[in-house]
Amino acid sequence: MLATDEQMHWWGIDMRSRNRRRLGVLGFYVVLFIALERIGAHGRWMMHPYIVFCSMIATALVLGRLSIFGKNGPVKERDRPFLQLGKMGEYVRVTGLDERARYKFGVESFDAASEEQKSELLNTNKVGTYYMPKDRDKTPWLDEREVRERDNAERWALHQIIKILGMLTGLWLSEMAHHGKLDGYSVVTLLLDLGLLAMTLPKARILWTEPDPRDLGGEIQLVGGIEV
Amino acid sequence: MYKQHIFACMLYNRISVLRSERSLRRADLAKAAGVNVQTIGFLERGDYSPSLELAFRISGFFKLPIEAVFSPNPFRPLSEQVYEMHRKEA
Repeated sequence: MLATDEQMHWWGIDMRSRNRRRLGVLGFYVVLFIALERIGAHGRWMMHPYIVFCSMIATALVLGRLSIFGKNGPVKERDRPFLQLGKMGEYVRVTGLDERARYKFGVESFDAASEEQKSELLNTNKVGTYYMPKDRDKTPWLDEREVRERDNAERWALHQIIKILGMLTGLWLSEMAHHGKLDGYSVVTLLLDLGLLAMTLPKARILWTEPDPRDLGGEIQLVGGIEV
Repeated sequence: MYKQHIFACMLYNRISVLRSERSLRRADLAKAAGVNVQTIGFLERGDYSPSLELAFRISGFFKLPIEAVFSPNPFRPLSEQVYEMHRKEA
């Protein structure tokens, strides 16, 4: 689910190498957690909690945007970016059987389609309004391998977050049992961290595991003509 | 156990040979099969087993039966098979 080779640059650095991507991921988490810890440690006694949390969120958003996880980074977005979808020149709106017949088979209306086409339309039509690529042969945003990879990454991230949440709950419960109260500040900070992990972990896994596109091999050609 | 599972799911293919025989670029095949170029690379390396739909699309593109392009067992080299066929004919 990595972007195309042209988009594999981040701040001018070629990120096709897996090691570079891994460094980018590690660097982001190190910088992020140090920044949040610093804001929390300094702001806790000096500023209103709302200001501290807003600063943390703003810092996380800015760092996220500038980091390897940012838009137009080495990983494709989960879904086609909204702004790209907004370029209506590339898309057509398809509603109902007539428009679907026009889109799929280029006929005037559903009635003008052949019996075979009508049967296919009736079998595959799902009620609703769809924005379809104007060019019917256009490659989908994510193909089946990428969708599977995305789903695997998200499932893995969900497992990690549930595990962390389970451990944190145990920690908080034992703290409550011991002190009789819970430090709301640390709870909110850790939940904020969990939210950030939820946003970044799927991409982190893809960046971490995807092989270097150059290792997938170049174009091979048979040498000359082969006569048997 | 995990490794056994991976090997059980492995599907071999001849995509790279067929593609080079026809002097096709990965991008051409990717467009015809409706997938991204990287996916063709994954398929050729055997790192990804396609869905049945994609396997049919690819074999249809090469105008070959699906078992000529994909197999659960490793393929013998085409040159070896052609040589054997010619020897039998002779």
